[in-house]
Amino acid sequence: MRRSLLQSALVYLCALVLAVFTAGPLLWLAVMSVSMPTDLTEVPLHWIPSDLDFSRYGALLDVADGSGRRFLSALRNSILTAGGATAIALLVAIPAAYSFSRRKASMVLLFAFLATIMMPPITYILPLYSAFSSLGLLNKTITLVIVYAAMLLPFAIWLMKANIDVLPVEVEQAALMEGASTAFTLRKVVLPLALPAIAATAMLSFLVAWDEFFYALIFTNDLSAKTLPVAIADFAAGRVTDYGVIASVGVMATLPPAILAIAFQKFIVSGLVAGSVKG
Amino acid sequence: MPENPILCIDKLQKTYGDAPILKDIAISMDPGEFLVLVGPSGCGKSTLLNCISGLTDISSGSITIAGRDRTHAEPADRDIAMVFQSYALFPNMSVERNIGFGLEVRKVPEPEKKSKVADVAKLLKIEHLLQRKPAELSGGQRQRVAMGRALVRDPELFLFDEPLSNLDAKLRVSMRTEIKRIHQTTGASIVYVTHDQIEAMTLATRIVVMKDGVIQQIGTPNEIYNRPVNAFVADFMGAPSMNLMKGTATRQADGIRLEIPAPQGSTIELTDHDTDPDRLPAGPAEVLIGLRPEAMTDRARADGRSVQVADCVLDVVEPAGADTYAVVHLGGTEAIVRLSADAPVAAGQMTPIAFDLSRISYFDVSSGTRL
Repeated sequence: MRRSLLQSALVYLCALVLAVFTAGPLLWLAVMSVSMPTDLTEVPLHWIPSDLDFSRYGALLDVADGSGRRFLSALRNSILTAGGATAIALLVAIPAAYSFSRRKASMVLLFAFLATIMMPPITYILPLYSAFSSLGLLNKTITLVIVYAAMLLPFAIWLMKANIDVLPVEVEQAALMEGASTAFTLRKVVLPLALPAIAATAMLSFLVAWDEFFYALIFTNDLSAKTLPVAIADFAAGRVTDYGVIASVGVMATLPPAILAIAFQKFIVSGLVAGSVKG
Repeated sequence: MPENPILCIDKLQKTYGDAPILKDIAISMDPGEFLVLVGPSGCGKSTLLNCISGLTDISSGSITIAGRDRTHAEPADRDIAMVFQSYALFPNMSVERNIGFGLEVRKVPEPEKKSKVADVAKLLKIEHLLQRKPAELSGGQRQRVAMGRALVRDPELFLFDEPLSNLDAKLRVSMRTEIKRIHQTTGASIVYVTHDQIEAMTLATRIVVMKDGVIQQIGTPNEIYNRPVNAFVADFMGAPSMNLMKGTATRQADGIRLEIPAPQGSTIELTDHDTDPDRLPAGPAEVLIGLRPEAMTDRARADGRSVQVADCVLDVVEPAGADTYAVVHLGGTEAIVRLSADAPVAAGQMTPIAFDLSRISYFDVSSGTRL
């Protein structure tokens, strides 16, 4: 069917509105990060910077600089925390999801897991804080890894289960008939087929952990464990607030998950549709 | 009961909740037999196969494979191999690894594995496909790979679950021949599930006809075809199926006199000299008279002493190349008669039809059981 000129125009207009709506703030963030400080404080606002200033990026990547040290240690902590929590969540979620999907593990248990993420985090803060405090685990990366892994698990199990459900069960039966153990079947038959789902689950888990702010704010208090969201807040809470610095930290903090998403793009697209289309 | 059955199923029951799926199944199978489970969909034949494979637990009864009780054994411990309807190949592995999967699991040394896979590939004529992935194969080639995976381990028992139903009609016939050839060359013991009665007739050494979770009859294709135990088996097996005509049978000194109502109040009268009259109830009785289409033919093809001729009106004439089929209204049913291809017949014509009464079957009208 051919579209008329008017229809085409409408379609492109809608696409443009959507693009401005979603990409606009990010674009403004990038512009802010390279604007002169005076451009950002003037009234009315200068949308287009009078001069490009990349000095903030240089400072953020310089360990000797104060803000550079804060940013780089937060980046390290974030990668360790989100990466570690995602790895643990996946290692536990895959066998768990398989037992829910194929071994008739009780659905009540799965719903109980899911119920835990329905509680607002604030309800957990106090008991968790006193528990970690008595164990001497406050302000440690490992603490956040534990908390995030627990937070990610229910969702990861659920997502993996939905994806394993749609895999053809005969293939696994064939492997069992051929004498393969469950572990062998899982490793050699199920995992290769579920790879897109695993990539999608890993990606989403990593993003959730990467963006988490509340637990990180409460459980960490210095450079040794603070993650990026908390560090960004710290930049904003200084005596003299330089919007440009906050913007450049924001841009830099977006890069790792963005790179990850691009690298896994092929997997994620097929992983997200795997549940809807059979085969 | 054979002396050393390869498979012995006794008093097997399977229920889902309150619904009985399989009722009192008893089968004994000799080594080297090709046993075909056949029946309409929902008759429980696939469930029975899954019970034998161990993929489904049974509710009661026992399963013995090669002399060992396997009632509650894991599928892997039953020394069986299965060919699935959907092929169930491992899409991430090459054909070679697919076939060798069972050997890989058992940690068979690489050279031995390679030579066994090569032997099976040669038997199935897929040597040139070993390095391909299943996605790069046609349906028939995938089917061969699935069979190769089963054959390579040389198990006690092979299970086939409707292996040809995903293939197109032409390929189905050639793969059917292929399966038969493999059975002949390897002498394997095979349990084969199908809903296609022609597959059952051509492949089986013995057929198990099932309906509603109950075994109707176990017998050689010849027994099933010529001496069906009830009207269901008579109707289900054979294409076109057996004509089941309502008629009256009266015992006489020289045989059984049959009266079959024909259109316009007329009646066809025949006398059966071959059947022992004692099998039928005394006095005139209404029975179902079963005759295969090839036992109702034009005179040119009929011979022998049991053949009697009666005139019938042909309602519809259907030439089918090698034969011409015609529909005749007899005994309250549309009976099919099988005429020679060049028979000079036309619809609406009164034609002499020869009834071969040596091949007659009688069934009870209400229960359908063979008399």
